[in-house]
Amino acid sequence: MNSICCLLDACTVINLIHIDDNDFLLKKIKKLDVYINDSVFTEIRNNVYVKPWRELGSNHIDKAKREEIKKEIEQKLTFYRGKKNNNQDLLDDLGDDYFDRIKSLTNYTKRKNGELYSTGQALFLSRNNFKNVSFYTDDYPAKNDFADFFHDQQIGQIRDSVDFSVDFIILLYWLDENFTDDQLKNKLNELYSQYATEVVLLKKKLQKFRSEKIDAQFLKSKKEIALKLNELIRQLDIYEFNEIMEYYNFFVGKKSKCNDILNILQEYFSVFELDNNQKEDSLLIKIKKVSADIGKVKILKLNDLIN
Amino acid sequence: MADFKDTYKLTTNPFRLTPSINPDELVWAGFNDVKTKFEKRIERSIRIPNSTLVLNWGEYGSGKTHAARFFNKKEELKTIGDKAGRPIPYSMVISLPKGKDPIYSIYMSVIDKLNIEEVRTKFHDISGDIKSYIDSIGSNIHIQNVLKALFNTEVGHLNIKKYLYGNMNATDLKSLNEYGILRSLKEDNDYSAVLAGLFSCLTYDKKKYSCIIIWIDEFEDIMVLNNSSIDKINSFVRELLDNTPNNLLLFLNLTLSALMTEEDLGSYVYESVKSRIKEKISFDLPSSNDFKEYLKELLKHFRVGSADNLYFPFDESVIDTLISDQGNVSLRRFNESLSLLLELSDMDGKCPINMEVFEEYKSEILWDKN
Repeated sequence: MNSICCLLDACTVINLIHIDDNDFLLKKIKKLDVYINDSVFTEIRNNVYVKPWRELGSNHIDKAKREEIKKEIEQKLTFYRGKKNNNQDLLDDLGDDYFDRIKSLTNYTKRKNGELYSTGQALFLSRNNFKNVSFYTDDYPAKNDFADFFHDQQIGQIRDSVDFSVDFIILLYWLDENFTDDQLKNKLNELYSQYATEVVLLKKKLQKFRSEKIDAQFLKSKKEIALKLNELIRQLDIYEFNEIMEYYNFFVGKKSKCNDILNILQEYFSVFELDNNQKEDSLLIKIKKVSADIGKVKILKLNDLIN
Repeated sequence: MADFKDTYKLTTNPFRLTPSINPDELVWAGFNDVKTKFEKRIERSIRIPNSTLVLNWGEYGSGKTHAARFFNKKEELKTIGDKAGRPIPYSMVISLPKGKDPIYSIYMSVIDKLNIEEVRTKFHDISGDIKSYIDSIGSNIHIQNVLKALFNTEVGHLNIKKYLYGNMNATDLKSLNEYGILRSLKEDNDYSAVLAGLFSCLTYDKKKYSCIIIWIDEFEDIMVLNNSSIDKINSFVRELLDNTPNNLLLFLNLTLSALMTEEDLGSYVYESVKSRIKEKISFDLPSSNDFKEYLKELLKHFRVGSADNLYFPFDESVIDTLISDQGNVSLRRFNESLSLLLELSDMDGKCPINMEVFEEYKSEILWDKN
């Protein structure tokens, strides 16, 4: 199945690590042609422990548990490390200014980051290996920045990684005859739980902030912030993620007045990645729908094609 | 600026305290029917050797967490225990864990709250009875030995705590070998068995503690757990009730929302657990009278000296108007509005808080109303 070539981003890999007990998905991924840019891998390493350590909370003192979690994650990281490239090798082969040229070709104005490096790597993979590359990113602006380049250069496709987490699991499902409907349901449920838990934790932290910090003094000087906070809590309460990123951006803009709130939002940033960007369904609804359709609307595997 | 106490005849702002974690600031005002239900339920568990599961449900801010914290106060539990002529219950409030290891998290919360020195002192005169009793609990010799070590003053209390936390390395563990403890606690089965055994010992013959009360707050979060964690929570609750058959009172606090109705609970709580729910205590949205009764009692509790008006520093007309303007709201929202009104009045030195003052601050008090 090497014709399916995926360049993964940090968000997807971290999700896959967190929901993959017993290396079930990892064994399936081995059948795919998967790549990770080394700058993205650094991002994965920096962030993969954030959630597990937070979950462990005050139980951090339990060294045995901590070691057990660390061992499990490190084993998975070893696999993904094997999928990462070395950007220096690319520069050695293609010239020191390779990524600068990509930056210029794409009219990218920001500093070089994981998305730019991945785009450069995707172009190389498509030309060197004659592959159609699917690159997944959780960075909406980056997706827009590079979409035309991917299209014009016929590299393949660039997609939202939050949706991709679902699509990727479905891809693994139909590639493997032994991946059962129940296993698919379970993995989608794990993914749902990953995001939904973050939503609940964020909502509770904001509710706590609201009841403890919004007093008369706060309202007199920062009413606009209080109102926006209230709206955001309501959105989270009903799982409405359409344009939720605007709330995040609002609090970024008001950083000097409400740094405490911004710190909370940043801790649960994955919630804002659920912004469905005015598409029909949010990720959580999409997962629920796909799960409900398992068994009814069959995703056809090779064996299903045989009468 | 005039002194808050002198002006408003209140020790402090009573509305900023919900839900307080300082036991002295936790008061129960109004809602006598709900209070009586809890008192009766707890008293029954204190008197009778049975294990019970109770579901408390209501909207966000309806007072479930406050109830848990109020009835977790030693003073309240002692009063109920005295009434029943029995010792105080052993009580704790924990939030439903949201991680991948919910049973381990619950276990750790219980161990965090366990004062081994205090327990040993309390059980000193019946330590022989406890030892024999442990031999009769289940058939797991390892767990029995752990429980015996917990009550055995020969084993350093910090040593056994370290063991319970899972912090002992192989060398440390050797110090417990002579007490028959040859391995660490590992799986959920171990944690459940230790907890069930511990609870059974603590309530042995209702001699030192009359029952165990556990409040699991934020139980609605079960909807965001993965299937495996939902399985674990259900099994744990069932096993705990089965293995602590005599003296366990388990309260599940459930916040209702658009995404979690009482019917939805059926998707997450299995029949084997649901069938054990003996009572449901509902925290309904308060009526106008409920609010007013609550307010009178709350103000009375914080009152300094006397006041002509039971609602002082508020005029009764202000309270009536606020209730009417707010519509159906939770107790928390009602408290928040009154807190803001009191703070704003205090900032501008206005007292009493009459309709004129209320109208001036109305937009601030009802700031989140569309």
